[in-house]
Amino acid sequence: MIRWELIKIFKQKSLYFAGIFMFGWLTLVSLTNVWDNDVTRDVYREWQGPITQEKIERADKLRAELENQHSENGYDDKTSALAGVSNDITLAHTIQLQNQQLAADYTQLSKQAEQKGDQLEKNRMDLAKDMYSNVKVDKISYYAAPREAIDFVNVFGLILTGLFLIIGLSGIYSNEHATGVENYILSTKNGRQVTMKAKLIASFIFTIIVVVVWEAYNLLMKTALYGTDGWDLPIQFAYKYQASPFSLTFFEYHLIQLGLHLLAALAFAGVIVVISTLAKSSVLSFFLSGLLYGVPIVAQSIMSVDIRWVDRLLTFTLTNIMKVEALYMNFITVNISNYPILLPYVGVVVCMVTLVIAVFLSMSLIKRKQIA
Amino acid sequence: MKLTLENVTKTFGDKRAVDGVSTELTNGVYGFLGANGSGKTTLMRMLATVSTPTSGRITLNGNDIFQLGDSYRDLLGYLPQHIGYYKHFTVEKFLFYIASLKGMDKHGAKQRITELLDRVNLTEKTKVKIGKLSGGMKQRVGIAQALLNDPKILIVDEPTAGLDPKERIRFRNLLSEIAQDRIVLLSTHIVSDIEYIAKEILIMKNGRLIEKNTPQKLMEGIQQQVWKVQVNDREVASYQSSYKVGNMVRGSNGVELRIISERKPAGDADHTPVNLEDLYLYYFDKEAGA
Repeated sequence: MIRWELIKIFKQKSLYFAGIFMFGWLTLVSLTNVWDNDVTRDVYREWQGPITQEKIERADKLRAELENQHSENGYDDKTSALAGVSNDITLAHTIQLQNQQLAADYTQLSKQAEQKGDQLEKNRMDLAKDMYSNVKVDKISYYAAPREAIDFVNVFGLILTGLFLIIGLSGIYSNEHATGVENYILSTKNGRQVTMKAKLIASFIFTIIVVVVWEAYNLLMKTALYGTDGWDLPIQFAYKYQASPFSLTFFEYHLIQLGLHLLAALAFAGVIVVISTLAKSSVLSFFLSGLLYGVPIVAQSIMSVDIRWVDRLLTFTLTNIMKVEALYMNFITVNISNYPILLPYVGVVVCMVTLVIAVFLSMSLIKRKQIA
Repeated sequence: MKLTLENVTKTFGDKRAVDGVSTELTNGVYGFLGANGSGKTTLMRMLATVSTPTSGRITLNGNDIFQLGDSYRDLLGYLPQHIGYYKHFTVEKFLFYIASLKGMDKHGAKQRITELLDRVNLTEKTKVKIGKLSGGMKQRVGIAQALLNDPKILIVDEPTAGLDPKERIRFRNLLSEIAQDRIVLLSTHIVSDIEYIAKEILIMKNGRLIEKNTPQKLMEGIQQQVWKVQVNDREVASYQSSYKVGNMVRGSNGVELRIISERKPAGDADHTPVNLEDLYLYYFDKEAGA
């Protein structure tokens, strides 16, 4: 039955049209927006390795020189690369100092919370102190490939997964209604529970395929354009993660990012199956799923909702969890009793709960499904 | 094997599509006769478990069919009124899919599909996409899918719609052959579909089961009300407005009318042997005149 459901999903021509369009467009965008070149890579390689005091001083000196050399026509490639590497070294050093300061501050705050008898706050501050103490921004190398690869997940990965899941799965049950095949499905031995299980599993397989395909494209493209350097650098080198308390290399973070993205995508696939089972038409299912997916993006990116509880609520939508970055950018916890829980863990729980509810609802709906 | 309907009712809002139907069905062909909107399709859907009764109970050998669930559906073959299909699937691929839904193994399904495509005269269309078939051919694919699992309970809703006369005869013969040891429920408003094969006819009107008997007994019941009258062309309209008029046969002496009436419609009217069309006209005069 799973095979049949996969055949039905992959028979949809719209998937291939969307695929050709999206990957064509992405390739065009990637090739016309290459940030660096071989000169940049070579300059970074001259500086790569541990950030020593000597490198920090050289970087400061170099930055001062470059500021004096400021030209109206801008810098040449080598000078730009030198400016980049010196800035990165200074930035890394600054982050390192800031984190040390943060760890000291949190130690102080922890003591104050203890004196006030506020156990939760003490636990939070201890956790923050431990996390920031562990962050080591103490080496440098060329890192354009991992920087671009993780950014791809936040932006294009999010679009691609959402688009393909909505196109591929919106009709997974509503098409049965539209074609009239629902009559056979509901009147046969394997038509209800077995078919719904197959639809869910096929949806999950399809989701995994979608993520694997764009990730393969992402890695191939980034490796071809920027090489393989930098995956062992801490994520704090990426602008969005400078304040992150998580001690992760780009490689570790990218794996976690993909895992979380996939988990949220699986939960979203389950939600689409539920919507499709309820909706009488694939068009309705398509729009409802699209709305559910798009509202958090529109609310946060375009309308810039600035209401704290709405913003916090949007953090836990599947779309935002799929985006991953908001869970790792800052030290934010959800507090249960005296225990602070870090956002990524909450994200995992939200996905798991959504997935379980979606599976339960789908099975329950098909059991009671009837044709009016 | 015994299917029992106990006061089965289905309502949609204020409308009672099926209203308190109670009956027992054992092996053999049952013809459900009724006009459009009489509740046949809704009743068929409930028997096929794709719809649930608002009240009442349907049992198979004493067990509620909705409690039996998949084990009941395992015995079932269902051809809905409007057949569904995936237009991009070939006939064979679609039947393999239905075979999977019915829990058949691939080898068994292959044999059965070959056999059934031969029986519904579609062997040459095995590899043709269903979307490219004519309406009648699609209907035959629908018939084949209903028979795939050799069902012990076969429910066919308007199965001959869209079939040409030759295919209708072929289908009737097919039903006759297989009806020996199973329950076949056939809904139609084409009386010739069931005239010779139905063990019993169930007449439905406005959601109610108003008659259930053998065709012979039902026809005997209106034997005194079927007349044959010879009239001239000018009188036809007058008879049509005053009586339920069935067949009209034009001859050299004018027009011979079949009339359903409790009283003798004319001095020279004679009784004539009843057929199922008369029976249909007797119960569904408005629809027949429409």
